[in-house]
Amino acid sequence: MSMDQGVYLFGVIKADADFKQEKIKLDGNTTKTYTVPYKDQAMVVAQAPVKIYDPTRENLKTHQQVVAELMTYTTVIPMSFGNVLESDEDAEILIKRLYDKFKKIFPTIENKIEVGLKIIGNKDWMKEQAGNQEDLAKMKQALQDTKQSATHYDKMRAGEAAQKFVQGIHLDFEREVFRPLANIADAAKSNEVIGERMVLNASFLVDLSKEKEFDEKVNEFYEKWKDRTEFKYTGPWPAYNFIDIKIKAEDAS
Amino acid sequence: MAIQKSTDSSSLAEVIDRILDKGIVIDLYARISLVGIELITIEARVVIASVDTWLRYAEAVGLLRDEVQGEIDLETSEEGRGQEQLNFA
Repeated sequence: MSMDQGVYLFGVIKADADFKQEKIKLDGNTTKTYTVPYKDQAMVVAQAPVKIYDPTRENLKTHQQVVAELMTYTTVIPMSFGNVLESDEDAEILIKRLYDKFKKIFPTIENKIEVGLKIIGNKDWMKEQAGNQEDLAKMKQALQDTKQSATHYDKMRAGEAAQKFVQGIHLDFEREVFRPLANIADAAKSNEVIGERMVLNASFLVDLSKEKEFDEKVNEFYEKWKDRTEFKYTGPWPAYNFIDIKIKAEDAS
Repeated sequence: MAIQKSTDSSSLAEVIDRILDKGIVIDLYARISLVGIELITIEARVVIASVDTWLRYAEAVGLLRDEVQGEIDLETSEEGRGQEQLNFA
């Protein structure tokens, strides 16, 4: 079965960048990256069938690696996963329509990297903290004193209180860790925490000249908290968290 | 020992977290061909926390007794993220 060929989009770079073509594997097919220029900007694309791309490990890796490779030698405004257009002409239209936006974005991410910091509380430490909260301790006692199993309502109430408590810790970490790091970074974003024990889920846009200073600050916090929490410090990433452009066709809603 | 940032393959979750819905996203309807189509940019997202979410918080900080304590470790709950977040475009 043959599908219509289209162009899979990876990201926008400056047209004068020293683009290096890459042979890649997308959805089992081998293809090559190339650029579609418009004025001084260019979309990095690869010929690929027009279809919905499953976020398989291989596909995700290919997308990430192409963008990461571009990032090693030029500034890239990354496309999200799975965007495919019918032709080179469409890719050109896309840049044309968003040209001014991209023009403004480029200087804000030039020579900068995105890094991620997730902090996850140790279970025992979280329990201990909860135990120190009078209202939660009372609630726990009440739930455990109940001869019959607690009612759904009681559990919900306890759960709601627990969520508030965890969010309180989250706010503490935003103040104690996120803000000082944000001061070093060019831009910072505290994302919603995922799961029950995550106390910080942050992304930072760091200028390369401040990368070392930033790393050191992260380590300072790590030393302070490593016995009670787990740090997931990742990067350098393309500036995904700082570029948020959603495009929709006007009549499609 | 000092902590160093990395993007090694063990952080697939980190990759997913970024490339699936961040950066430039083209709405499904607008993909394929852009010839003659007006493009607009949109930004609307609603996140709904469910009762389940609350219960898992209660479990995580040890408020509830064993009867509702399941094997919910972090990995599982990260995978379950899609169930507690409904994104409306």
